This record gives sequence, C-alpha cells and structure tokens, in this order.
Amino acid sequence: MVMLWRKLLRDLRENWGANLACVLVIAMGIMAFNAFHMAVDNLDSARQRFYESCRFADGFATVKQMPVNRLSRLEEIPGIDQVQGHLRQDVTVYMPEWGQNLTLRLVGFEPEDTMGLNRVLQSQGAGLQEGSEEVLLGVGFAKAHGLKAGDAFDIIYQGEKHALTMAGTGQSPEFVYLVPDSGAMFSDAARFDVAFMTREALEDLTGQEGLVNEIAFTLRPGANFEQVKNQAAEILEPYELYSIVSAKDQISNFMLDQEITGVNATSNSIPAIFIAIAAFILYLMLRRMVEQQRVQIGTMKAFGFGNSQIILHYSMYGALIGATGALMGSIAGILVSGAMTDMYKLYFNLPDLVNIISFRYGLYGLAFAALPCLGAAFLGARSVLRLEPAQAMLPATPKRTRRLLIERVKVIWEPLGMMGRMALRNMFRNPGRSLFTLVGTSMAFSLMWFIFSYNLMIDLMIMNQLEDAQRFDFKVTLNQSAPARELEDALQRLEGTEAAEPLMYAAVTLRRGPYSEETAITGLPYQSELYSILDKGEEILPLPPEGLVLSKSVADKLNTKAGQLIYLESPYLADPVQVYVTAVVEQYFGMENFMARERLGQLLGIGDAASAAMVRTSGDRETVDRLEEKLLLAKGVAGVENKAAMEKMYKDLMAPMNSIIFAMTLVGVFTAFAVIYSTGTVSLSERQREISSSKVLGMTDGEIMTLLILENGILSFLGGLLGVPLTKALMLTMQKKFATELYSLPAQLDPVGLFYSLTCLGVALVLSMLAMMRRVRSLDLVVVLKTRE
Amino acid sequence: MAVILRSEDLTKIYEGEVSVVALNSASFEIQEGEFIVVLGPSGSGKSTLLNILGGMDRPTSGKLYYRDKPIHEATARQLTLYRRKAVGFVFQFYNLLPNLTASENIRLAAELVEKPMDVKALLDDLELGEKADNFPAQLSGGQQQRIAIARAAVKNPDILLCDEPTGALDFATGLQVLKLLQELNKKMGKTVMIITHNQSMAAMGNRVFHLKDGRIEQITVNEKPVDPEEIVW
Repeated sequence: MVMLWRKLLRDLRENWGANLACVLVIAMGIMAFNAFHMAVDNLDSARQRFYESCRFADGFATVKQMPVNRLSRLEEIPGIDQVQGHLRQDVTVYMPEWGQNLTLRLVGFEPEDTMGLNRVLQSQGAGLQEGSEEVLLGVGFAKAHGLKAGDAFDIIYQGEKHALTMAGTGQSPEFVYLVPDSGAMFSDAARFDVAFMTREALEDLTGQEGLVNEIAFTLRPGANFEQVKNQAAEILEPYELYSIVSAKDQISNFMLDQEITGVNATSNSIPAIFIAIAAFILYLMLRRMVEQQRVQIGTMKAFGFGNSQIILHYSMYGALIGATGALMGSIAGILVSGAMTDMYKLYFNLPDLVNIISFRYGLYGLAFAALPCLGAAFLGARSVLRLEPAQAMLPATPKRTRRLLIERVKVIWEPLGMMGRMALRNMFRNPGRSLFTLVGTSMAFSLMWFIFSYNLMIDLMIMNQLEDAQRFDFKVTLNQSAPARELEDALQRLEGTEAAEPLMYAAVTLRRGPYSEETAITGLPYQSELYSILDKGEEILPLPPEGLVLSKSVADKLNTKAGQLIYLESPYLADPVQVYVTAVVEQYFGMENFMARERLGQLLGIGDAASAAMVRTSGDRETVDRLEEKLLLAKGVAGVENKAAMEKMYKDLMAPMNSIIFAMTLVGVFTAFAVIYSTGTVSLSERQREISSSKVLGMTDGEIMTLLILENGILSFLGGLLGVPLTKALMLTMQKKFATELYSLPAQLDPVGLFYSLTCLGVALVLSMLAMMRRVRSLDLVVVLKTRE
Repeated sequence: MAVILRSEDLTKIYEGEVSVVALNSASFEIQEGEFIVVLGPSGSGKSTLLNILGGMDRPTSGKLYYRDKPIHEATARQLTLYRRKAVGFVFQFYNLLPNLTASENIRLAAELVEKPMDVKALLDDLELGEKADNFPAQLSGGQQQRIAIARAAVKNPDILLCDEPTGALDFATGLQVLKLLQELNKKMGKTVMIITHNQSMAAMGNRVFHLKDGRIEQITVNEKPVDPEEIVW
C-alpha cells in the first residue's frame, strides 16, 4: 500500500508543528530512558568488576585502635572467613592557596598481599618503596591538584608538617565514594580523598605500630552478616567499637547503591510521564484527524479498503511519531549517558568506568515509545471502524451544545462580554481536551517551580548557615579539650584575631524512656557574637542560658519535645543526669544539639572546658594568612577550618547545578508549549470553519487571537493554580525520598521561583500563541468555506 | 446478456425519532453492459439505492444479488471485497484524497486489485497525462471528476456507480464527464449507473429508473440512447 504510506507521510507533514512538538516530548522521555539505564549499567558493571577483582569485603568495623595480632580472634567466629585490619588516619594537606580545608585519608596496606581484601589497585606510577613516605593518591585529588608521580606535598599531622611523595594513583573498592566523617552532600575529591601508604610507613608517621583501626572481613558461604555481627561486636567492644556494618551499609557502597537504585527507579517513571503526555496529544490529534478526514475514510471504504487497512493507516501515524521520537531520543541518550558517566567519574572512584553503548535500550525505548503512541492513535482513530461508508459521505451530526451552569450566574456571565463567553463555552465544548491542557500546564509549571526553588533550598540548607549564622573566619579544633578561658586568651593574643569564642563538643547518649540516641552536644558561648542557631534554615533561635536545644531529628528519635526532661549520659559522668529540653530546632543539614558552654561543662563536671574555638580575624590578607598558618602549626591543634574556603567549595559544587536548572527549565517551558500548542492546533482545526466565517463577517485576526489567547490563558492560569499544591506535593515527596541521617530537603517553595515559573509558563503561552497566529493568518477562507465538512 | 445485479423488494428504513422509508420495495434486474440513469427529485431515495447497490449500506429488508451472490447477507469482510472488486464509485464532489496527486489517487485504487488497468495509459487516454503530478486542489472541477472516474475505472470493476457526477460541474465540463462514462460503457463494457435529478440526461441511458418517495415509479426503456453531445440542459 505505497499510496497509503504516501498519504500518511503527507498527513504528517501537514501537521508538522504539533507533530514535532510530540516527537520532541517523546525524544526527551526516551533520551532519559536510554541515558539513565546506560549510565547506571556502566556504574553497576564497573562496580561489580572492581569488587570482584579487588575482593570487596562482606563486613566492616571501625574501632579506636586494636593490636593487629588480636584480629585472629575474629577468625574463630563460625561464619567469618578472612579477616584483615588496617590503619587509617585523616590528615590535613598543607596547600595554603586552597585554604586549609583539604583532607587526605591515609590508609595503610600491604602492596605485596595479593590475596588481601579491598585490595588497592594501582592505576599510575611505580610501586611503593617499603617504609618510604610515598603514597598512591586518589585519582581525583591528584587530578584536581595537578600532581604527578614523583611530586611531593606537605601534610600536617598533629601540628607537624610531613612531606609525602606521590608514587602513583590508587583505587580501592572500599573508597569508591568518599565523604568526610563530618558529612557532606557530595563527594569532592579535590578536598577530601584517600591516599594509600605501606603499612610500615603509616605506622611510622602516626606512631601506631602494630595497631589497626579499620577491620574488614568476609563471610563463609552460607553465613550471613547478622549472625556474626554480635559476636564480632563483643570481641571488638574493648577497643572502642565505633561501628560494624555489612557491605550493604558500608558508606561508599551504600552511596553507590543509592545512586543505582535511585536512577533505576526514575529511569522508567520519568520517561513514562513524557510518553503519556505525547500519547495523549496523539490521541487528541488522531481523534480530530479522523473527524476531519471522514469523507476520505468513506471514499476509501467505498473503494474497498478494509477496516483493518484504514485503522492501521491511522495507527501508524502514532507509531511513526513514537518511533521518530524514540530514534532521536536514543541518539541523544547515548550522548547524555556519556556525559552522565563522565559525571559519575567525578563522584565515583571506579577504575574502568566507561560508557558502554547498549543498543538494547534503543530497542526497548523504541517499543516503549512506539507502542503507546500506536495505541493512542488507535484509540483516537477507532471511530473509523464504526463509520459506515454511506454514512461517512454525509456531514457529521453537529455536537449538541448545552448552556453552561455558569451561564445561569448572571453576575459572572453578563460582564464577560462576547469574547469571554465564547472562550468559556469553547473550553467546555471539549472538556477532556481542556482538562489535558490544564493537567499538562500544571505539570510543567510544577517542574519549573520545583527547579526554581532549588536555590532557596540550598540557601536554607547551607548558605544561610555559612553566610548569616557563622560570623567567624576560622574554626580551630583541638586534639584535647582545654579550659575555655585560657584558650580564648591564647587566641586573643594572636595578631590578626579580632574575636575568639571557645566551643565545647561533647559526645553523649541521650535517653528518654525506651528511646536513646548517641549524639553530640555543641557547647556555645551564651549570647555568642560569632554564631547563631538557625531554625528551618532562616530564623534565629536564641540560645537559652539553661537546658538543651535539641535537633528535631534527635527529638523525633527520642519522641520528646520542648519542656520535657531527658537523661544524658557521658563518659565524663558516672551516672546519667537529667536535663530539660528547652527548644527543638529544625535543621536541614547536619544535626547539632546545643547548650550554653558553661552550663554543659558544669553538667558534665569538667568546668568551663572547650575543644574548639571560633575566630574572627581583622587586618590585611597577609596577617590573616599568617594567623591561619600559625594556628595550623600550633601544638594541640587538630585542624583549622577556613569558612571562606568552605563557602567557595559549596559554591563551586553548586555551579554545575545552574546548567541542570537551565536544562530542566527548558524542558518545562517546552512541555508547556507542546501541550498548549498541540491542543490549540487540534482545536483550531476543529473550528476552522467557524473562524473563517468570523473572518468573513469582519472579525480581525487580532480579535480571533484574543479569543484563543483568552481560552488558553485561562486554562494555563488555572493550570498554574493547580500546580501550586502539585509542586508542594512534589516537594514533600522529594523531601521524604531524600531525607538521610545527615540532611533533609526543606519543603519550602521559593516565592521568587513562583514568579519565574509563571513567567516561563507565560513564555510558553506566548510562543504557542505566536505559532497559532501563523496558522490563523494563513487560513485560506475560500478553501475552508468551500470544503464540505 | 447476463444479469449482473438483481434486487427483490429492497427496502431501507432509517430509524430515528421519526422512521423514514428511504427505499421502498425496489425490485429490478440490471444486465451486464447496461447504462442506467436513475432519475428523481431530492429525497426520492436515489442515493440510498446507489449506496445499497454499491455495498456501502445494507438494506433493511429485501434481497440483492450480484451475479447470484447474495449481497444482502454478506459479512462486512465480503462487502469490502465486493466494493473492492466489483464496484467503482464516482461521487458528486469527486472526493479525491487531497494529500495525493492525481496519479497517486488513481494508484491508490489500483493497489487494491490484482489486475488493475495501466495508470499511465488511463491518464493519457483522459488527456490528463500532464496533470498527473498535480494535487486535487490544483485541478479544475472537471479535471478532478475525470481523475475520480479514472480512479473508479482503474480497478477494472464490472459496475460503475456515479452519484450526480456532473452535479458540481458546468455544462461543458459535465459533458466531457458524461462522454467519458459512455465510452467506458461502450468500449469496455462496463455497467454504468448514473444518479441525477437532471431530466435531460435520461436520454443517455438504455433504461431509466424513475424514483419518487423511495419507490421506483416507473422504468422506461430507450430504444436508442443518445450521445451526450445531443443532450442539452
């Protein structure tokens, strides 16, 4: 049936605008489908290969320290197979141009041990020399700082500088994803990475000979982690066991898993939304098309075309659009999966993480797009089956128009004017289509507002904290606590210090009834000048002189609220003490509990002690730099955090988000455009005759456009209104989905974002109206009015 | 000559708020190669008759045989095949597919049958060879109707059913169309049935069916059918 195919192609060309919109919507969906699936496959297969070749362990424990010869006791546990321990130590890297926020996690290993667990894969450079201060650096760190094999750099360990030489780069399955213990939203290898040293070298550097603090073990076939966990914990308890987790919960693997399951979950649902939008547009278009081609269908039937041939002809219209979109989407998906895989390389330290193009997803995507489109077109066109050829030759019976309910409300109806009334009646003439426009625009609007609320979210989570709440320049952490008064005086005496306020961090266990939580309390100076507690990321909560300000997530775990008494346990205390919860503070990032420092010291019986201090500086750049270096090298100082560098780090991390925001905005605007334009064209073709008659009667193109703009404008505006609760729901869903121990997303919508998204919706409306304007102008009155409907 | 169509008491009633008897007990036989003119005012049941004969519509009661095959009890599939192989339709408003060119419109029909006529030869015969690649909108009414006739003829059907084929044309072009139909009838032996409300065309047919209020009031026979050129309207 060559001629029918030709007709199909020409029908497609005739409607090219709406078709293109449809194709692009599908392409976006299939692009996401291909890209997400392929990128995740790349990640997953690279992980599997790495885990297998380097023997990722089944269980992981962290202790304060433990003699290496005691590890054999773990091997006696039935179910445990191989046990291995190593030393691990975080140190500050001395690179003044980066501020002092660079940390390396030094990890000891045995280069010769080929049967070990979590083996280190050397990816560049020469082997390590026994006992030398050489390291295999994390790939990301080396790259970010332009370090090559043979380069030396300084680290600071316990106030002393040590030079380390980079021998090459190394990767281990234990550190595929790396975040500091203090927590961070993203991994950032430029500031925190791992470096592998020989066991002896690390023991020499840290003076911890024969000791380990990290233990990994494998399970015997058939054994499971929960069975051995308690026994292992019992053996490790005397060495101050911090944590014992299975491979599943090991932080690096956990994060990798989260990414893989998260993307897997969206790799079908997001494309499905796009395909559903396109399928609905197609359904509307085909329904209209077969109405319009009624006589043609009748003629074909009169000539002996069977129902199956005709319905196939119209269904192929949908299938072709679906297939074209799928093809475009698949090609784009290959490119995007490459970009996503490259991005994964930044966050996940995996050897041979490469973009493997899998045509399988192209095929699945083709079916995923073409079948629903074929189905939608079939449903849209199925009325041709019922159409008897003789009946098809007669004009269709006009649809019955009814008065609207609103017409009875004279107060509203009368002032509407003729235009408004016509617009309203048209909206109700085809309620299904109006509903689609409404839902489509509200979805696009929600997507945009959600995206535009991102900046507020980051402000509430991080930036407000850094910019408003923390009014210091450095935070100095001590190795051991010291009297607060002395620390403050010592800091005040330094050149460049404008103000200094000591802090006390105390690890505690809080209990209330059956609930307990291991956490820490930050002792802040009462009426601190340099720090404010922020509630919900923006409101300042004054620190009460007495009692405890609990983080909301801790309060929830303890099932407590302000005004209740809870128990506090601490290594400093023989017996638990009672303390009042005076306030609960909701934090989006981290979970800190606060108390006045003096009161905390009293409670713990350690006097007014401090384990850290905030310092505000004054003076020129040089003075400040000198002060920072002096602090860093001071005896007893464990680390110095530079707030400006921290701010810069977050801003750097957020920078790539801007292009994502931009891309998502485009997707939103385009989706709204596609919905308004395609439903608009369908409605326009339905009313060609009516519009042409109006033009003949003397209505100008402008007046006709006013009518169309009014109709679509009202629908888009209502779509926006409907989008408000939808966005809120989207926010809450995301908040639930992404809440972790460390952070939760604020479900706050940015009013500025509302303005932006309304503007974008307006842009989509204007664009679609301009495209329709072209069609209204080019209506050939004579042809339209002469054609039999 | 063999009987190609035979009807017995063909009746069509349109049910609705008011039942309309569009065709009432029509009984007749049509011989192969006959040229029949169906005459009657609007609403007399001409189109209903044509639609039923062409397998486009079903009678409410009565019988219709095409070469002894009962069309009145044909399945939808059989009706489709009947329309495909036995019948060629020509409509008042041509009903060419606007998206296909003149020759493509003809080829569309040709693709339906195993042994179609040669499309190019047909176009040349009609002196429309140079218009072959024009779209319907680029053709005059007469040209469009000639293409429509070619489209009906290309399938090589036994019967050509024409619903007011000159209704939308002026005299001169209408004449061309009628001549073409007569040629198909005479040279190729096609059975042709033309519906019209134009009395003067009656002279062209071998027989004339006079319809009124759904009934065949009278069937007249022309011993000597005239050439279209002798007709004046």
